[in-house]
Amino acid sequence: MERREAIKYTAFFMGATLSASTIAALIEGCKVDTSETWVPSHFTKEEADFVNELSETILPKTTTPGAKDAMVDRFLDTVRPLRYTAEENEKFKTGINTLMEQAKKDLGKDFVREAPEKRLEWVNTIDKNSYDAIHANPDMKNEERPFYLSLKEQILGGYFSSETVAKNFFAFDPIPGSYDPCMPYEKVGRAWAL
Amino acid sequence: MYFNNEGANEVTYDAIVVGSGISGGWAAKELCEKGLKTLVLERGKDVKHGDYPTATMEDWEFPNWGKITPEEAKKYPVQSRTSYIMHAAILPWFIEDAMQPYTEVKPFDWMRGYHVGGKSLLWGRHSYRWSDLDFEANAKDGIAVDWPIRYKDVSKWYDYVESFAGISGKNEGLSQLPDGKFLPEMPLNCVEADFREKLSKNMKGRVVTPGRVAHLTAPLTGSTRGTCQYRNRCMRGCPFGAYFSSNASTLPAAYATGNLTMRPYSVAHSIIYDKESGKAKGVRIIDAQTKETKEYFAKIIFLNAGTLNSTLIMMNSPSDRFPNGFGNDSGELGHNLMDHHFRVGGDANVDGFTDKYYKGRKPAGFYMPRFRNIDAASKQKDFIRGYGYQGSASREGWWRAIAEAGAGGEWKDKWQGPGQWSIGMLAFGECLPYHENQISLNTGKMDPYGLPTLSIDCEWKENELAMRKDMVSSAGEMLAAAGYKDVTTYATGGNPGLGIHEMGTARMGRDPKTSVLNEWNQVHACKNVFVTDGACMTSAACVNPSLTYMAITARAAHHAVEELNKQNL
Repeated sequence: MERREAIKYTAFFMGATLSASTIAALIEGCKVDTSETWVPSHFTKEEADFVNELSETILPKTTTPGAKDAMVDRFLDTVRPLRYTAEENEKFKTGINTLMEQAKKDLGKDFVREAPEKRLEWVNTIDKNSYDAIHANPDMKNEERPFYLSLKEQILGGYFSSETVAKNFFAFDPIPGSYDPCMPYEKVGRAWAL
Repeated sequence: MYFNNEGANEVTYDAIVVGSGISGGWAAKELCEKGLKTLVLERGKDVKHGDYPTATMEDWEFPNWGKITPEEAKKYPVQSRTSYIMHAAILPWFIEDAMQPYTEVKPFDWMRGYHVGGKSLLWGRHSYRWSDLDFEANAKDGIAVDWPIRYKDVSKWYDYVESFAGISGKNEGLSQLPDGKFLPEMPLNCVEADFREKLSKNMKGRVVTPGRVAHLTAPLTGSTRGTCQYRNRCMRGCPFGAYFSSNASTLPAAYATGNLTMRPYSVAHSIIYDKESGKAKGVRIIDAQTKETKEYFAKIIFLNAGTLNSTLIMMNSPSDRFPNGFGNDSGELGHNLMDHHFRVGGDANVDGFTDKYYKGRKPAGFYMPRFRNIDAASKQKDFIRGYGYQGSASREGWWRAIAEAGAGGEWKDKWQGPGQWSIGMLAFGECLPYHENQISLNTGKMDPYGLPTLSIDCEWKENELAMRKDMVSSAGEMLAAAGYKDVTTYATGGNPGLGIHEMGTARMGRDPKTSVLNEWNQVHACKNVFVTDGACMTSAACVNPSLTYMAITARAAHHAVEELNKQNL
């Protein structure tokens, strides 16, 4: 992937023109309500469940945390109404529902009731088709891009910027204390979280 | 003596300093240390060193994740033009625009932070000396007026302020960017060092040097400030006091003398002129909380309210002697507004170095000093003056995942490491002083404190626009010469003001007929008033101006005290 394209997509994720400072802003994280009794307030239960399982399919738990560990659904449920206008959120929810419908049609059952391997198979197809579409037309306008991509970007943003991922996936060092300008990568072995 | 109902003692001082930012803090320190009872008038709230609420918060610890809602953002239509401030960690330092509206005759981005410390808490911290290339520029080009000072007049003051502020950097022996009294530099990382080496081989005269920044990279003699922890959260305020701010540096020194009185919530309204003595006798303020008018008196007055506000105060102080604004015999008050033009540069990807990384978030990258129009060989036909670059190299983070198709565990885990190296450089160019780039008082439109608002009429002109073309192509040329790939360049454009290096509007000069201030920053026709913030600048150079404000302020303050002692003021 060309870096220029990456930046374009990143800009899409941000809904803003990218600058060095917005890249910094991308590393913003989330503190979620971790209580057992959490219920979504922005999404419906059905939408939240779908986002939750879709997130875990894209970013499943391995030896490292998955999207559920990072509570990506809760992040999006809280952050969407704060960051976006009601109109943008309405479109976003419509997009989720359309995707849910499509999954149901393709799978013959609700996405959340499908087996994990089948979910991944379905996601991989949607994923490939979506990227193929924008690669075929690099000048595609934001609003014409497949909705799946904008949802995926939000999921990635929520996951990679979470406290769990900062501390358990990346190397977390809030107060480095000193600067080493050029060290062997193996000494860290992971990307810095911050 | 001047009386009001508070009694003369409480309202009479030896010196008044208007503003507590970079230059105001220095004025306060120097005057207090010389034994003057000094009143600092600050329009915003008090901020004591350490009083930085967001400094140690991780981003996930913010309510609302630090996001600014569309509703909140509506309060910052102008301030939000500097997009990086729109985070809850930083935004509270900036004003809500309704506090001080202004009229944009042409688009001008006026960024303001009103609190004790001002923009010294928020600045970029790059600190470069000017050279005679800058001080002689107007005279040689035959434009505007000549600076009344040369490098020899300020070099010892640069030594003086660098030694106290703590500037890290590397001496390079360049005539256009004089060496200084530096703490150890923040070293270039692997790829930045590679760029330095490649350019020194492939493009003579292009120097990649560690950014000279006001950060303590080692303990500072005589100071209790801490060293840089490489968190790169400077704009939130540094609890370690590791970068220079008024709050961490000059104001504590001023307080330590016992001579400082700080008055927050004091919006300077005008200078009070005394016809009989031909001197300024004090400053009239509006209390920002009660909206009451109060008057304070002193033998000398330093205006350090920030470029546009210092000039606004002078414009708002007409008298029989100065019907067109305080000290405005020349008609130049409000004119010759400048800023640095930027948002032009280039990026590239860098092959290799994948076994190399860094530790710590360095709050500065590299600097490339000016290389155009510095001698006969580098003379350009399309523009005069020049520009420098700030840049950095780093490894890409997780966001590169957004551009890549895929899902599942293996796909997820491949983002655990850093991506390839990339390098970017951003140019900052000199803007010429044009008489017609100006501010004026909008007496028909008052701000919430009853002060007239400003009209700002400023634009980039031919020289800046021609320079920008070269700023773009040079960036691309150098990144390619270093052998880097996927070189892209950009010229985003941007309004004056966005550089937050606004300068001019009360320029220094030799002749009272064509300038507002003399070689000691004194108002030509009223020598007990000193203006030592960006308003005094006669030209803009291409380097960051704050260090020069510090040096000029310390120099002027010492002169003020000498003159006071000789009873000349």
